[in-house]
Amino acid sequence: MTEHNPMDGDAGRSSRALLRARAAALAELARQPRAVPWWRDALSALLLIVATTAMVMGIGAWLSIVELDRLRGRWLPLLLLVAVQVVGVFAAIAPGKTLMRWSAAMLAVSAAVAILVGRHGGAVSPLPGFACSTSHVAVDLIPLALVLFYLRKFSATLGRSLLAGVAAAATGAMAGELSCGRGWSHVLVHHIGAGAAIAIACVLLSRVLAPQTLAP
Amino acid sequence: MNRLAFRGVAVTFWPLARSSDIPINGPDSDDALMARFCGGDQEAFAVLYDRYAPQLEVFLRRFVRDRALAEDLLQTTFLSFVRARGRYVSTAGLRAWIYAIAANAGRDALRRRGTRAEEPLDPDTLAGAVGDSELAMSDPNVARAVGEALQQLPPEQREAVLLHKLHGLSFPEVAVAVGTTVGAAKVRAHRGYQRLKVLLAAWEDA
Repeated sequence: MTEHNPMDGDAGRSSRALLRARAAALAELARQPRAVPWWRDALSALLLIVATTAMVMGIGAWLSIVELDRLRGRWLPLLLLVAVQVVGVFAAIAPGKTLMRWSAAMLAVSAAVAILVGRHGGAVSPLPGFACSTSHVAVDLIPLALVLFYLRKFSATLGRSLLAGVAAAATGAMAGELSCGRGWSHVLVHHIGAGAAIAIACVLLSRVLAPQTLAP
Repeated sequence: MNRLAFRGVAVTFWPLARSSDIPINGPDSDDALMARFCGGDQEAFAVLYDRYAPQLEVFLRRFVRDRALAEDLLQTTFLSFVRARGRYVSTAGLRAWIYAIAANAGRDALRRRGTRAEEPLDPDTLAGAVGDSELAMSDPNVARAVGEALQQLPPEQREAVLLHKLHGLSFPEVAVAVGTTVGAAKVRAHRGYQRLKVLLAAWEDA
């Protein structure tokens, strides 16, 4: 029994392809001689998104849209949303970390439940409902752009893209918690619905945008 | 060596590489070379390239069924390997990680091309991937038939069969490479073998 070598017969072409790929890789290595560890990307993404959220809250408070005195009554959903953003961004970018991704998903579900609970009745507002969903989406645009920038650095799976989108949507959800006092049905449609739209947009855009690398 | 029996035809798959061929410890182990490569050592990269590039080229050629595309994807794979080397964590092993990059490149290319298979088959090249312990020497048509049957498998099954049987990856490595669980990888490979049996039985009857 002789062992087949699939390279036989077309070794010349294979060699040329191998040499070409090697030259391209070496040129890339010369451009970027030292590796950037994954945790540096995860940390910078996290800092940028948390800073964006803080900036949104600051501007909202300055414009008297965000009412900081609501913090006392809504501390649990807000705490959960901060956890969703922090754990979600890190878990979406870090290699491996399956357990962390599931934990982030569980946190997101818990946050959504906590947002809805305690919204019985609710305040009346002269603004139409879509004002909340529009501003929710608008506030999430910068965090969405940031997570997409970092997702392009590897081959993002559907789960990672979805989680990154949810983490980006947490910015708008936090702003919503501190600015809107309406009932649960409004929150479900115009706040959680807007957050879900951002998460879905993140998945779709991450599939459309060509990744910079195809590493898992 | 892996053996599958299709009625009277016993087909032996000779893996292109085995995990036992790669040093586990010492300066030539994958992880030691990877650590040097991450620090910018070109010689470490050269060793890793020589170790994996030929196998990856064969894998990509069989996976996307388009030689020119496979050559481009090999380049894409190694550009990703260089750019994303900071994402490597040694838990699953380098071989699984680099095959995952190649498999991602293949799937991405097939998805962007919007088809599963366009290129006409190249039976001589395909037949080179498989051998038959009893019949291949006297009847090279068997090897060719197996090669053609492999190309008729759905991509996810072909991917699992190629990685496990021809490239010698363990199921945990296959799972990392295709981005699924070990159980799902085994199911894909099993379904692939079942389909191969049906295809080869039809070939034998003909």
